[in-house]
Amino acid sequence: MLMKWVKRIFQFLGSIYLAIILIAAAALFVIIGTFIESSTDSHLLAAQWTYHSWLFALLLCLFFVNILFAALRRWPFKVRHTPFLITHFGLLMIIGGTIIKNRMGLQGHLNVWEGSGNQQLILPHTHALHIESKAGATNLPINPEESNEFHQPNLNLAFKVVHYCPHVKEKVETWIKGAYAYLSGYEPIRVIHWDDKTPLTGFKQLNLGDEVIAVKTASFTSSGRISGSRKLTDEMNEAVNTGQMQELIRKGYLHNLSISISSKLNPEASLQKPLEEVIDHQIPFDDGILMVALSLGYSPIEGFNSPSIDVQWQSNQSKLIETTQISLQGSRSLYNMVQNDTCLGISRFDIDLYRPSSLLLLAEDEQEDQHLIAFDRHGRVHVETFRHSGLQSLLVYDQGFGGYAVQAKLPYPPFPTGRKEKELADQRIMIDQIRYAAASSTLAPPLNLFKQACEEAEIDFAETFVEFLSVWQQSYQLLFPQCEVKPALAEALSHVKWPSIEDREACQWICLLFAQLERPIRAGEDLLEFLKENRWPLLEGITANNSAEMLTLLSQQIFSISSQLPPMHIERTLSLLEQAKLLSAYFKAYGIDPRILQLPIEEEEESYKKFESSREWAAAFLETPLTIRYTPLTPPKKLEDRHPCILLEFRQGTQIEKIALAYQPAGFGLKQPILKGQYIVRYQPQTVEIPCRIRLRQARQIHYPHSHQPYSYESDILIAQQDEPPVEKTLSMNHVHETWDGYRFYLAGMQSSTDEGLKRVQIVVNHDPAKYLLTYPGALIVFLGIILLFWARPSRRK
Amino acid sequence: MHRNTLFLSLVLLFGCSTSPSAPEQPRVWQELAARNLGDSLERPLIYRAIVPEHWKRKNPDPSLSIKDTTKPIAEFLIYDGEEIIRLTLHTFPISEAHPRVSAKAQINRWKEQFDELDPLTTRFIKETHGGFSGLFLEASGLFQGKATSLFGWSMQLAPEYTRLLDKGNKAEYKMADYTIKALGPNNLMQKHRQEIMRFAHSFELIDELPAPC
Repeated sequence: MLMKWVKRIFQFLGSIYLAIILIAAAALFVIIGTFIESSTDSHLLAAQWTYHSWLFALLLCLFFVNILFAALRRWPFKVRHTPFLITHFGLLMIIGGTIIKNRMGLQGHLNVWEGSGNQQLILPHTHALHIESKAGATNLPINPEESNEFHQPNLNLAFKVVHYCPHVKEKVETWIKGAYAYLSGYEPIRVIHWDDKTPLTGFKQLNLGDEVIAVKTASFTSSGRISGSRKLTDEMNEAVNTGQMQELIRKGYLHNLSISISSKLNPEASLQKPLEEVIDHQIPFDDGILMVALSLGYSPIEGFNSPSIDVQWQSNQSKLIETTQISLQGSRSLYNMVQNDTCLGISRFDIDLYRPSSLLLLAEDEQEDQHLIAFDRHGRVHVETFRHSGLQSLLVYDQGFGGYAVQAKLPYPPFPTGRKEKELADQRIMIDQIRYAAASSTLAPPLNLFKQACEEAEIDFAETFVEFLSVWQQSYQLLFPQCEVKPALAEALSHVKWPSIEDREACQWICLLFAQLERPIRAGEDLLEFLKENRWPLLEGITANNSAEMLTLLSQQIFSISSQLPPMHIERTLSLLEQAKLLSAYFKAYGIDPRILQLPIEEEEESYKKFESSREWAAAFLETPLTIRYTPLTPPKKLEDRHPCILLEFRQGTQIEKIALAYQPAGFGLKQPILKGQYIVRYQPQTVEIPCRIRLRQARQIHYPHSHQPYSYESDILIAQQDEPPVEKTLSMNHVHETWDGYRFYLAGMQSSTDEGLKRVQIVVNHDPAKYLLTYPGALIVFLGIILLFWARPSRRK
Repeated sequence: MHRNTLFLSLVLLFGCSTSPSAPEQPRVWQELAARNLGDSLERPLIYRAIVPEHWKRKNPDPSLSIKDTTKPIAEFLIYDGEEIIRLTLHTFPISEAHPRVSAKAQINRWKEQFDELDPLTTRFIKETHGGFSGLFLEASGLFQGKATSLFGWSMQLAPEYTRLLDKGNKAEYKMADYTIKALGPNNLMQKHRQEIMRFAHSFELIDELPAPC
């Protein structure tokens, strides 16, 4: 009876019926896998339910048994069974190879940097804790969903997983951490939740070198319970937009900032008020109406875009409108730049900004990016943005054992660097340039005349000339004004000796003409129209489209026709100021006027090198510890998109510390310090050492000719195996290397921090121990068996 | 019929073969010593490169100091008939007294050594290999009155590794920055271009650099 059952089971195990059932089951697995993958878009989840499940392993074993028993059912074997047996033997080898590969094979990736090597294979979708001390590192496999305690006797360290969260959002926290802002070396500053209706109050004074900085922090997110940088919280953070970043920055900028405006033409006209009171109001000023507009052009992505203050003045008496722009950032900052066409090319007003102390604003926007915004005492603006998703730079203390920090540089020096100081610094540069030019090249006749006068008066030519231009500029007159001059300039003017009577007479004609033009220019009339109306004879030659250039052109016209003009006999000796006026006309005829004091400025960051005091100046740096906050989220269906996190408790003696760590699937990223910096840890995949060490020599992108479009990636590697000389190989996207013992290396990716930075490649490593012993020979044997089946069939017919 | 089909299939399957590739010049790994530091004449062996066997290597006299960075640490001569390519290697130890010279400055210095530089054939590109980053210059023009080409690499330990410079136990990296300059007649340089490139790209530290992460 028993034998009967054994025989029945034997027959069934080797029967076609079982084969059909198994094939149907395999088809069912395929259907389930396809359905799961299409509904979740997750290959990993589908694989977990199918090919990586124990049921599928059982199915493979049953296939093995079915084929084995199907062959054994032919016992006793005869010659005609040979093709059938060979084919089945081959199939058994293939299935056996597959089972061995699943149990003992390897599939993972290596991260290798140019110049360095690696043989620690990262096994994807596995979990381990990387613990590193200064003596060495270890990688401990863990099951994050079990709270077993792990002991590391050699490190005298124990740890356990306190909590596992399948999916979290990771946020890099810099200056603002929850309810407080942290600046290293200072007391934490409470964060206020600000909206555009809340007044900005509660500024805090900080001593930072020589500067006193008021700090105000604001957060746009209602962040629920802030649970500390390394602890998990079950509460979801509800992001609520409570304000507008632009409005906050505008209010911060206007805080305590005053504007002073004084007219160069009218010493009585002067205004000094808080900018907030002046802005967007019409203010009677200097026989006209003044309008001040602030444009900070701030966006959280691009920062400040050409921030400026525009001051527009319109005369009550005429159509004259003058617009002056004050840039608030970069090397052009704070200069009074006239925007419309004026005859002098310089501003009618001196405009300055002032606040009693610099201001620092730490703000977090609705995207949870943090912004450090600095406003200096002269009205300049500066911003640095710290993205929650990643940082551009990082301070690493003691290779991570001392923790991580971010730093911000405050670009404003402690000494005054306002408009006046900048203009004085420019004048000093101008003096140096004129000195160099006077010594090395031929000067224009009016400069030469002035230089000779200075030499006779034994005073410095360059300094006196710049002083001459400076007084002229400050007067806002077409020619040198009637005003007090410094003794050195007066001395130089007293020694001016005109080279010829014709030149002096030409200058007198220019003075006369400019006196005629003064009124229409002051009234804002079109100069060209005025000249037409007054029948200026040389209009055809005037092509200048700029009034200041037009005046130069008119001066040159007079110079060229001066010999045709009636003589101007001046018997009496000219006063110093008359001499200065004539000289300024002479300069004008050669295109020299106060505009040359405005040095050509490059569009770049402000440089304080031109300030003498900058030699003793070092920029102030602010620093804050870097922390990471994890917020639990509902896990996505797609397993590959999940970002798990564990809360670990470490114990060493009486010391206990908890830390939250997010999974780092690539096996690198910041290792967090624990137990006062004794160890650094990272939650990552398991690693296994492979017998080949890969050293990356060069990784490169190959571009299409004359293009930056890459068409291929290549890596030169050295593969060193024990007791064998290293082998030089080049991996590329379609060029795989395989070692004699079955390790296959594929180039999977290439990354670099910058264009010229070191490259890191990701090499996928695959090892199938049964491939050459079972799988490939099995396939060959199946092939031979099929051929023999074909061969044998005709003979059987016979 | 079946047999014929089978035979034909086998012929098609196994009948393909690739043409044999051109034989390569034999090459060997060679180790190279860095510059001696201070008064000691000891030159630590820190570099290696793959060198074609037909290149003639010329080492500086071991009894003389090569502390002076204008002296090469090694020279390779590539003879081809009457003509010659001279490939020189220099290293630049970093210290308080010798701050790093930028790769661009080195490249500009090489360009200035030409009497006349052909702008059409002059180019420089960023390169990284062996843990170093820098610039590769390819230039040709009149050099001491002769039509000459230059391939030059000015390489510095990459920023990711520079923190190693501050570590006491990795003092040898302070002497790691190097330049390779190959100079020779235009046609000869083009003829040996590939092997010079392969030499330069194989130039590396004998010891691996520790992974930056």
